[in-house]
Amino acid sequence: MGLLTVLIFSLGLLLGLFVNESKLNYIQQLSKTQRADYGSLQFQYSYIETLENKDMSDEEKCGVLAATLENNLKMLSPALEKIEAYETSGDVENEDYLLLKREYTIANLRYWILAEKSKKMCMTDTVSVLYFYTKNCPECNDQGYILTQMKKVFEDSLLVFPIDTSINEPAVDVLIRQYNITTYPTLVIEKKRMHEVKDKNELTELICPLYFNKTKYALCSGD
Amino acid sequence: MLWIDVVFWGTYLVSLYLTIFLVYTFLEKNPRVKKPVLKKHPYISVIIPAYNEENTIANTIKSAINMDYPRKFLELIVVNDGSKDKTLSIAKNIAEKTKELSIIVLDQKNSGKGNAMNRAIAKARGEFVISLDADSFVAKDTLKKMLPYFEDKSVASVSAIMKVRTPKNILQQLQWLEYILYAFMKIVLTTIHCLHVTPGPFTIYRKSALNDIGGFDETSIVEDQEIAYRLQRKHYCLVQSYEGDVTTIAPKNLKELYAQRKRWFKGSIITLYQHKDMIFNKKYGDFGMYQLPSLLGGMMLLFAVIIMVVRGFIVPLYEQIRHLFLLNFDLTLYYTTNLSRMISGLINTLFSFDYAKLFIIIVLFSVNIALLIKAHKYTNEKIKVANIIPLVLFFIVYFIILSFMWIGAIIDLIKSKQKNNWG
Repeated sequence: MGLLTVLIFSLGLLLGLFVNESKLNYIQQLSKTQRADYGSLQFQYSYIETLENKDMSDEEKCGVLAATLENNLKMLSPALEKIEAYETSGDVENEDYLLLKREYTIANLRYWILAEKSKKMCMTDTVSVLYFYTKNCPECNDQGYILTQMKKVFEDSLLVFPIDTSINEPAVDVLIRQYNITTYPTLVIEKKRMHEVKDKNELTELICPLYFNKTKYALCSGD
Repeated sequence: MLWIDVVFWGTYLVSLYLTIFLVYTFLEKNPRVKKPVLKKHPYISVIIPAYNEENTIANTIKSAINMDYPRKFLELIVVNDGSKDKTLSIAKNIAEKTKELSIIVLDQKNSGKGNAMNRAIAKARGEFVISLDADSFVAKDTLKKMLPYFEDKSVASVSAIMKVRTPKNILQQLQWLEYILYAFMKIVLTTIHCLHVTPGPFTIYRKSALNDIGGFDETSIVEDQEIAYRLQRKHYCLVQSYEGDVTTIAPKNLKELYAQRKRWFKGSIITLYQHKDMIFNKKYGDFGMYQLPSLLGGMMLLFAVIIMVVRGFIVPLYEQIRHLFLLNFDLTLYYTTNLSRMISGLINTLFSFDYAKLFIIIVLFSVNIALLIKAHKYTNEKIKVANIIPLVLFFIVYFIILSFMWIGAIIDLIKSKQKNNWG
């Protein structure tokens, strides 16, 4: 009878192990694609840097910049979802995961610099939000949720850069020092720093005035 | 969240083992309904302790009078335990009018059921005494069917199958299902001498055994459990009969149920604690090695249910409400979900889902359904398929409700403990 218990119990465990195995395979596959994507983005950044010295009109430079930005958008938004899948798979402390997360964060920061450059040089009508968060922070989940929802409204003209400060990435440490981030979550919207969780109305008031074309969104034009 | 996983796996393993043990015992001992025949008529004293039971006492007494048993071998002792209502006068009235058998009505100031029982036992002339709760009603042939078990001299008590009297609402129907499930479990447990309770509604005791252990504990709030432990201590046999029917009035709303269960839960913990030396004690056979640990496991299970409900239902619900606040109740924004995100969310859920746990839950659930079906057979009830499916579903909710009542009981216990400590 004890044997029977052990039998049924281990059958359950076996099933769990089997599912875990296929889960791991899936995640590993994801991270391989991810690496290739980051490599491609890296090339694009270096290429843009060479543009500065080239004899090109601003219009032409902006064209290249816009193409790179678009690629970033295509690759980085799904990347976050894949990383989330990784996170919920249970092997959070996995070394592979941390590396992936670091690469993702760096790619994101490059994208942010690029977006700022494009805004200054090409007058692209976007608003950038740096979102600093950390592990085990319930308020961060709230802020993350509301930013995700806002992103659905403003789509590609609201650029949210989530920065996980718990991954020990030196590039992140530089930003933490520069913006003097001490509490989480903290939002940096166009140089303005905010500590408390911002709800929909507060975010709308912060973001809308920053657009060149203020009537483009129903959320901004309504009272 | 490692400790939660440990709690889960521990609970799953324990409950799986306990369920398999029960099924195994059932298959091996195969308790069969046999029809015992009564050879002689010993003298019987039916004790009806009553506290504020003016609505039911008359029918309870009448059901005892109408039992199919020679009148000259039967007496009734009603103990009014300081009721504040008309219980005493109703009992006295019936006693005066009844000529065919002796009804003694004792009156005392409120001192608890254990005390009332002991007082009546001291007065009782019977070789056997019966505890009949004043809100319960015994079927005509119950006594005759149950007495033959006492031919075995080691048997100290025989309990009737207890059912909920005419369930009127869903809560009472759920309790009805619960009662027959427990009755069946007790039938199985009887085969390995593992009963830990001799229910007050209708249990026959051998008076010499009661005297041997010094009667009921007058301080216990669950005297019908406590006495079972002490009978087990002296290695008496306790029997749950297949025969015999007693119906009892079940709490009709959550408030009443809470009051009842709080008392039961508190009483179970106290009693188990009083007899903690019997847990895992080989001297007491399967009762010590299986039944008491399984009671402990059951208590653990209730905690696990609470954790599961909080984590799986209350936390996500709270999160959704918080999200609505964060969106300033902008519902169009709340329902904005893009398809790709939804799909990836679904994939994430499927991947992070714990199939091992699900598997064990399914095994446990199906075994329990099978037990429930068997329970119908052993308690002489017909299975109504149309009834059983919704009831089983509600059963889950019912156990969740009980789990929360369990927390109330524990909070109560801690409070009363503190009060005692502080004088």
